[in-house]
Amino acid sequence: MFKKLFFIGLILTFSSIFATSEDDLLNAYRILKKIGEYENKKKAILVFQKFPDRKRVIAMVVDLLTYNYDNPNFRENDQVAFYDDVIAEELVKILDKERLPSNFPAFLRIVLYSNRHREQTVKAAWQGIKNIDWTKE
Amino acid sequence: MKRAIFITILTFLMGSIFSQENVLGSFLSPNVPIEAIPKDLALPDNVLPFLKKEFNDSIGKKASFDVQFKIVLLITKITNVPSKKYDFLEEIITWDVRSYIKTEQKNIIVSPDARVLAINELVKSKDNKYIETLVNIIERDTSLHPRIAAAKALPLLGDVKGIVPKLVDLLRNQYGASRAKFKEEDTRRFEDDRVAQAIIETLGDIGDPRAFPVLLQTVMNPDRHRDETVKAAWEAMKKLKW
Repeated sequence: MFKKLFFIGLILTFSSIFATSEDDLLNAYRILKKIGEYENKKKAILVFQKFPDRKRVIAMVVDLLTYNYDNPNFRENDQVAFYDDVIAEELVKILDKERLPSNFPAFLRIVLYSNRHREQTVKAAWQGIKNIDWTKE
Repeated sequence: MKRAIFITILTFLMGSIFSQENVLGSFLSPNVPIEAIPKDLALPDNVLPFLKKEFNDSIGKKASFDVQFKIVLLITKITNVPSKKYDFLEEIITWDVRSYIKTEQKNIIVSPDARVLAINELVKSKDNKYIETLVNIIERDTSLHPRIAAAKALPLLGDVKGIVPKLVDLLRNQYGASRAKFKEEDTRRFEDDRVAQAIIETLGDIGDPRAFPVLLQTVMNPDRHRDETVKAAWEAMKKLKW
């Protein structure tokens, strides 16, 4: 009886860790659109990393990188901008894992306008371009 | 029962903490070295529409020269054979010439450095349909370095004997052989003479004897050129294939 209960508990635990709902995704997207809130954004990134519908996540990440993390006034000594760009780097890495040709424009913007990002983010974008599998649809 | 619930809660908490820490450990990496474009980067023609869009968007914008240079650098990484990149490179090279208005004031739209890089990549096509493009740059561009690059790159496009009369004409009428005395303080004339030197060197490389009269004119009128140009004319004369 105890063994059974323990087993069910274990399953519930893991499912609660790994399963991410639609609401979680939308909430994470909303948080990532904001300026600042680094700690919340780190959690939001985790939701993006875990969400199973990758197409939706990729579309959101591309949208975020294009419209929310492309800061023409970026300065390394601006703490908020700096940590937002740390998030941008993580978003780039999410795209990198997919290796999709359709992600090229998002990477391209970052490498072309490199003064809007930290070196690490630019480097990650170059790596993303390099890793694209051009045979993928 | 209580024990089972306790273990379940404990497992849940531990799982949450560890799953987050594993991922968040990669967040701040302060010692990543600076890196330019990866050396082994290979791109397909599929990227051209995106590069074109970014290039068009960069026109007239602040810091656009830097962006344009990177775009051309990315084009050089396209490895398709044959490739559509050469037509786009031609577009980039001739951008300023197409919007050319003959005034004393230079109005540069596309980065001269990007255009030089584009010219050097274009000649790799070895397609002589671009000969006219380069001659057009020598004749009409207002920036020094693209003109020099175009003049020097011409022989790499294959059989260019057909354009010798045009080069001779440019050298005689536009680039100093028939002009008044050379003055170093005249910036425009100084730049023109550097282009003249490049044209003379190219005429030497082509080796067509039809270039002899203009080369002779150059060496016989040293006051119309820099010393380097006159020396280049002597060298070019030696290379003519009679």
